[in-house]
Amino acid sequence: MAGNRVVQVTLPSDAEPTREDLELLEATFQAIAGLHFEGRRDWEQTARRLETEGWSVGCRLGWIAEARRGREVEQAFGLTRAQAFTELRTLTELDALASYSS
Amino acid sequence: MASESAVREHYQQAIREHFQQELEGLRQAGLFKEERYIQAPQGAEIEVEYPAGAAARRVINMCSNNYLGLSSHPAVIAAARAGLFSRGYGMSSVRFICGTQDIHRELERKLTAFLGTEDTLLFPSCMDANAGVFEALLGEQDVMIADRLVHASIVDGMRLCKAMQETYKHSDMVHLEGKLQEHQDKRFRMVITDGVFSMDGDLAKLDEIVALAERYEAMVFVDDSHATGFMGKTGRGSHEQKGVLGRIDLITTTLGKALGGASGGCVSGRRELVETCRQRARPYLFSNSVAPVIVAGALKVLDLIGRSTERRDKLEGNAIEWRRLLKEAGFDLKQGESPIVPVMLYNAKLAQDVARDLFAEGIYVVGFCFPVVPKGQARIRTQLSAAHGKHHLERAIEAFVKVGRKYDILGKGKQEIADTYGL
Repeated sequence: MAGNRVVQVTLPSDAEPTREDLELLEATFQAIAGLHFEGRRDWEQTARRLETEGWSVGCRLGWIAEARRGREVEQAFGLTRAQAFTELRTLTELDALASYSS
Repeated sequence: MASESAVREHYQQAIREHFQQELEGLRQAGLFKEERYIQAPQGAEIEVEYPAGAAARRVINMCSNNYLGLSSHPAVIAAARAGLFSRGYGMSSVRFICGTQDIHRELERKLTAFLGTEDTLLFPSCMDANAGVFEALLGEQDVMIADRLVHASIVDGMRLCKAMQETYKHSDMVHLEGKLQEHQDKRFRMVITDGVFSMDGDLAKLDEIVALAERYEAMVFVDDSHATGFMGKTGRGSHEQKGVLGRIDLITTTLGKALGGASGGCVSGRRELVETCRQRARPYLFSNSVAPVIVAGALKVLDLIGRSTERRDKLEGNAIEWRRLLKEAGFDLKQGESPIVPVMLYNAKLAQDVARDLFAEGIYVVGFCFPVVPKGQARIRTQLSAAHGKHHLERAIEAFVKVGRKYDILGKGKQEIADTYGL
């Protein structure tokens, strides 16, 4: 997207982060940035409106795993990255073969 | 500035060009499906116009789901006609408003008795039944565990449901057991399978599936569209064949194959599950009632097959004989017990060429290749019917042998065919 700004973080000179360390830091900062710069809290109005209609409303951070192949697109959601990829695997397996209709 | 109509025309042209390119892509990839025009009722022999505009040819049909040969049976046609006059052409309503006639109830009761279940609910098609059942019964606290080769309509139905989706390797009971153990924390578990798998013709191991389901407290769902009417000693389906009558929680099946071949489908099983579908399944609630003429025809079909097993016995005999003839001739076959007999050719172009040449010899079959079957597993799927006579099989094997010799595939297995034609 045009205009995206990136924050760089300098790690201590003796730090030897693993790939998992870097992924954790990136996900943490992304969550903080998303919540901190949310701006207007219009989503609260939506939540309140849904509650008046009888819904019980909640919100939580999660992962989206995505796979694309030609025209095919699969998206899966999970509370953890592992869950999202497990779900993605299942979705791609189910449609691995387009069974002939009859 | 362009006028509004010029902009609209430009936009419509852009849409048109996009889809023309997509269609051309299908042609280039060999995936474009062409219809063949049949100028006769469905049967063991049919008149086919192919390509379009060509003179119709009489050919032996070996690719229909007319397993019991009842699609054009005079008694079924007479019953359908009688139903047309006594109950009208259409209901113009969904079932629960003013779309249920006494004959709908009668058909549901007769299907219940035939399938050995507690209740049955008609749908406009089995595709609709599969689309509606899971979403009506299961929620996010539940898990669906499906065989990886289940029919596309089941995949679509599972996607509409908010329960967790899982798969197990095709017919792998060890893998299934692992999944059942993994999901003991769920409210409900449902194992989902076809009864007969439509591309390979193999049967689900329903006896083992039911045993696992009972041990791990799971429901069992079976789409028996390629089994109802002829698998099992009295034709009740794959559950009868595998000795688990009365132990399947839900069966969906079609009236559009062995049971007359018109249209319509149903879900049949435990009373509370079927009634819940009646209350909640969207394709039932929001789609038109099965036409009276279809119901009347289906009632006659059930009457015919309930009185005698002659047709399913003939079909079974035809399937055994056809397999023997193909095997003796040297064709590579998938093992199986059903009247679906895949002739393995592995190479997609080879499958298309063989099907084309067989049509020229008067045998109507279709070649299947990726994405319908896995890459490198192209085949011709032959399907037997009780309407086939000995002379049909003799004529067909003669043609198969002639074409098989032309392509030098007789007595050859996968590796040898792949060495010649590639995968």
